[in-house]
Amino acid sequence: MADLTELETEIKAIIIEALLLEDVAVEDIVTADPLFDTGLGLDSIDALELAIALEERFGVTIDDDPDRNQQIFASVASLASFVDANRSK
Amino acid sequence: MQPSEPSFVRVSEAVDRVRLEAQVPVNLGDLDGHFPGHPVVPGFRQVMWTLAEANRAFSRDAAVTGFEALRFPTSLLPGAAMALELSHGDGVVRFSLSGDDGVFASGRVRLASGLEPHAAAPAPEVLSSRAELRLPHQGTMRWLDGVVSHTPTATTATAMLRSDTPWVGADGSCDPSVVIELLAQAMAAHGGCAAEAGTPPRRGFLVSARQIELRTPALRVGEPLWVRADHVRGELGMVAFRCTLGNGAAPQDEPDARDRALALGTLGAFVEAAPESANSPSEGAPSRE
Repeated sequence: MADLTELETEIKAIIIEALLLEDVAVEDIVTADPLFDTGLGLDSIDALELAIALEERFGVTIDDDPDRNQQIFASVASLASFVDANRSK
Repeated sequence: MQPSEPSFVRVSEAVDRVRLEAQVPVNLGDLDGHFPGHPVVPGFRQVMWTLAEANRAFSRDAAVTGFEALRFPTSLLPGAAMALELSHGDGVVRFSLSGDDGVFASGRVRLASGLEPHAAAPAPEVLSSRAELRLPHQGTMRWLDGVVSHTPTATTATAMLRSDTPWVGADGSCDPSVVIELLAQAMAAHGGCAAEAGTPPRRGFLVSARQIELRTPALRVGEPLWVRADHVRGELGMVAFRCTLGNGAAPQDEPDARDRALALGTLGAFVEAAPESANSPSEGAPSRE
């Protein structure tokens, strides 16, 4: 399996940038932690903002599929796997 | 029954921080048009109250140059009790408007001096073969006039702000918060054009705006404007558009629109699957449950 550490770090930075989080640093986000409800405590509005930013940066397409998106947005690790497999830039 | 505005009462204050409480009047004006049979306080009205109370609390003299991290997670309904928390520092007002049902609105307002008023310009030309403008907005909340152009990915419409509303001042300048609603109605215009002919327009509820940039201190009542929405993602449920508004000739394309915009930003909305249903933005949203 490819080393996605660099991509994971970039995604953490994108999360902070996309959601304009003021008191969170890249080091504060744990790669395997849940992003929603617990963990960072993101919600569906954050998911929308994050999807916009990820599509723009990586050229991925994130469909409106709640089950699939629950898997993709589970954690930074799952986001990185999805982006790595689907990115066009 | 005459329309009325909420009266905010200060319940606590500290240096650069204040907490106020109020109730949304059941006879708040303009709700009959937003939307007919389903009154929801528009996001821009919540921001407008925030700006008014921030003015009162912090006596600012700078212009609003942008809105950041705007979120509207819960629908605000007539009669609801609400608490407004404001803080101020480094040219930014932070606000949160909440109640028993959760957070209605939160975000930041960016302030700076030196923003120059924009020059007047003639009305954008409306093409004779224009698509029909279909909006769920009615009455004093219907701000768009006609469709200038429509493609599967972008729609441009004409707009004009009228007097006799709480968001127009005595000098004819409009509250900065109106740009939020104008940009939101651009999204609605695109949805109306894209919808199947003969179906009623779907209601959309503004849920977020990461960053809205204002390039003029105020829009003026009665001036002809254009608004444009470029599709980013989604058809139903959570959707997003890059929105622009400006004056003068209608924009040729998105770069032209962004270049000449008086205000612009990417907005997110929750669009109902069926016009009859009355989901709130926090229900039925994707990628959560």
